[in-house]
Amino acid sequence: MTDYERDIYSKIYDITEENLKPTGLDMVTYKETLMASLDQEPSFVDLSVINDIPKERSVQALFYILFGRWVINDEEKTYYADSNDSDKDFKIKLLSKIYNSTERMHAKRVIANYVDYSGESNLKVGKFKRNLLKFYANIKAKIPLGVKSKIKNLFLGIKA
Amino acid sequence: MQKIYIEITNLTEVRSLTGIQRVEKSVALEMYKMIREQLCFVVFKSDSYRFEMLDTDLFIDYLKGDKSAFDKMFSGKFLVYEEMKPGDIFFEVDAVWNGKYKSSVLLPKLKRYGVKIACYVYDIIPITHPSYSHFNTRFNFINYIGAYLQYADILIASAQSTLDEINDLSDKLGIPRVKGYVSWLGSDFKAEKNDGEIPEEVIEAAKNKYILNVGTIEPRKNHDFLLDAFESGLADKGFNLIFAGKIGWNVKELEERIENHPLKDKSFFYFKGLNDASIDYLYKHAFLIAFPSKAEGFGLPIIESLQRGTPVLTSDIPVLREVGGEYCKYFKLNDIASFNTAIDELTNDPKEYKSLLTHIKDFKPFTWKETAERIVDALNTLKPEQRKAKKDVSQMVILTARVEDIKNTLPYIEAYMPFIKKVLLCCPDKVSDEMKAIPVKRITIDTLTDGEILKGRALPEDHGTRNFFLRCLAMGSEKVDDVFIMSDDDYRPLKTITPEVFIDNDSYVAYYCHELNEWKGVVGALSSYDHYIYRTRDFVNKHRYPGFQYSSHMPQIIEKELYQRMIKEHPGIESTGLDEWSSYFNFVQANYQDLIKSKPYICMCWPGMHSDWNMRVKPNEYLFENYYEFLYKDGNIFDGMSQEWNDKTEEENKIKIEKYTKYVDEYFEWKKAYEEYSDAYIKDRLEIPSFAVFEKDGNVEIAAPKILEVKKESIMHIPFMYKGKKDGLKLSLSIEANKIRVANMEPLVLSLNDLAILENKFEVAFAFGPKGTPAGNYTLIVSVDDGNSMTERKVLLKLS
Repeated sequence: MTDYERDIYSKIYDITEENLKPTGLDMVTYKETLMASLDQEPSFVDLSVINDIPKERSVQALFYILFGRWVINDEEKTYYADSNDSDKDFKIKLLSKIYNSTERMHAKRVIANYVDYSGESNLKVGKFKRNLLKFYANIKAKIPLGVKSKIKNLFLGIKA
Repeated sequence: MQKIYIEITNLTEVRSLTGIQRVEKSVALEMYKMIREQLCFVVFKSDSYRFEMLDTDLFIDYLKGDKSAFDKMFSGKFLVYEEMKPGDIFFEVDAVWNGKYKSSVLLPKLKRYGVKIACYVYDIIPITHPSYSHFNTRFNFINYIGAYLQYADILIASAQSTLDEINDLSDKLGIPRVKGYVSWLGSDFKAEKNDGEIPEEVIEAAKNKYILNVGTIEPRKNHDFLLDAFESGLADKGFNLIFAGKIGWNVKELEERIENHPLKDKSFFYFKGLNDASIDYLYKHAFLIAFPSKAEGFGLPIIESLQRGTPVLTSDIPVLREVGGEYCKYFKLNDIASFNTAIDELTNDPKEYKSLLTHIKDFKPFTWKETAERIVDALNTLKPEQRKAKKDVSQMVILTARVEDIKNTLPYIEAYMPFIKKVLLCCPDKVSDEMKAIPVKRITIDTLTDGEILKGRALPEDHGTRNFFLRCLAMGSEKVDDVFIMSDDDYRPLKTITPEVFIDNDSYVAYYCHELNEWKGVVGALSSYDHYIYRTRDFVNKHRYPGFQYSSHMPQIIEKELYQRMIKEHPGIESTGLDEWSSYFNFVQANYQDLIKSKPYICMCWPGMHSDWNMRVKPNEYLFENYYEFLYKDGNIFDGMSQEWNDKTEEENKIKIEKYTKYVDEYFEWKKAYEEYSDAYIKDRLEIPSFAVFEKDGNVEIAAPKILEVKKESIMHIPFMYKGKKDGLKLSLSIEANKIRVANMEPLVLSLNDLAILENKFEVAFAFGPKGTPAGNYTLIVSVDDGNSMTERKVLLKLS
């Protein structure tokens, strides 16, 4: 996508935001998320876009382009607990967390990972644990929602 | 025949049809009656990210109520963009902004294949009145409308007011307006077909004189206003107020107000989930329909009410004024006094009310048939011109300044292209006589000199611009036949060629070797050929033409009139240094469906060497040779073979074809091995093996896969990306085993100018070991020198 084409989307975002201002409402979605998602192919994610997004907006953008879901408000705030980290360190920690999550194992979208991890493996999980997580994710996907919440409540009840 | 692919995913996924889905259904049924053969309904499958084609007849059966057709209508066949013909239409009629595919990704892809794009736009409320939409809808809508404003060939709006808003938006964005049409929504609400009883409470509520509002309870419909008006006078005037519609989004307070209203079920009634018969009953018995919306795409309840002879009082906003015309009464938006005045006019003067009832009888709603007719008329403006190929071809036109080269090529043409009777050589004036004197056996030679072509105009100095300039101007010469074979002086046929190589029934055959948008030259050393490909890429992208690369280094057929048309429609094009083949064929494909049949090229020695560029298209056969002298020396592929026509040529051509076929097969085997490695890497890690060079905060960083597997001794074009501002970084790859260097390369200079043209994505041609390299594990070292320091990244390399 050329810069000219990207600029059109950026302007539409600005116009929409301008039209929203008098109502006092917030756009909720960042422009950076929009721009990062524009030419993401359906079957893979170009992770290099994360480099250009400021730290404070990177969580929303990353979750949207990777998983297609919104991380906003309280959930978003939990990721900024270590807000003193530099931009790069924050993103490395964030990506490591995501890479090791079951949500990532579920994700169908493949990553074109143009992000430097200073020579470290992107997936900081050994092969055995990775396969275990994949197995767990597959089982979890097959359990109906109602049953899932019952299991969760049972677990919480036991814990309580 | 032009195919129309209509996207209707939501129609197959929602249980109850409201709003947009009803429109889709009605339009689909009517279009089927009109243009069945052209239609193909497609649904987006998010698990495979592809469009599945439905069986058209079974889909229509399903729409008509045959539930058994639902499972059968999914054909299992998927839309392949490369197989869509230029000129076919992709018609979006669904609420795609909340769907699963991104218009910003899909539409440019369709455009590359010459597909025309049309969209039915219901409204742009998420942009103009964003507070009435969920943030997710707003977000997705920006993507949707941004893409359609840039890539659509036509937009069809539900109202002129909507089209005006779309045009305003284009103006604000500073982009050309998309050609727009209007097709109102229809209304064929047939109460007599609706089964189901009318609930007693509905009949009870309707016994007293009442004002009705039909529609989803949502902020922009302004139900609060009606309740305010009811509480401040309407109720005292003896009116009941009835709301009929489901609860929508973001109306929690309003919902509570409705549920807890002191007059609820006394003189204020709220019904949800009513059947059509009940809605019809309420419409017919209402004193009037109140429609105080703040924003609408159309306002279907206005039509539905007028159709039943019930007066409508609506807010005076442009779209409702357009839809209601002279048949409605209007009040100032959000103005209770204005609303009450309008009510008083109708209640205080019975003649006024009666007159309105009489007038409404003249109202003729749009039918869905008319809606579909308008849509089809608009789509027909995208019908490509039909034209048949001219079959009388006997001339070859060659641009050349090299007497010796053309002298060596002509014998091949004489021997193998019997249908060519004459050759026109476009050459500098000073060599014209020499050219004419070239001995030939059968064909006649004529020249068209630079002087005759230029007629006083200056010749561009740059080689890349000059050839295109000359070819464009030569099209104006009477010496050039209506249809001819265009060639260069080093394209040699290898076997007997018949006109059927260039003409297939009523179409011209055009041979492509690559895609303009995928071409990667050597960063830091872009050639004039590379630049002319990029200029052509920008030209086709700008004009939304298909993007195949037709400079296949072999003769191709040209129709003079069409070349002249391209020049006429793009004034000044002759000075822009484009690829003379790709510009022409993509232009013709965009304008004439079925006139061009695109096929993989049939020419060998393009590329001359594996390392030259990344082959994406594998020829199925070789009928031509792109002659390179160096291939006949120094141990290269044709070393020792004849470079000129002789009595061994026939035999040698067979050997050359065999050798080059093996040469290309080897390359594609390497590619296949790389793809297998890549697929396994993706499966294992959910990652594509990616290389990148970054410059961040003054430091150079390198990203690379953990492991790379390629065939030993292979030459691969490894994809890289660059992000940064440093100019002139030097990138190189090398291979080591036990700290001994096995292979390396001359550093590539990452020039920011070149990278901008390449959109920051480039390829590095690298030989993975010289002949005799054993299979095994090595270390691939990626290094970048910024002039002050060296950054390295090591990758485990497996050579097999």
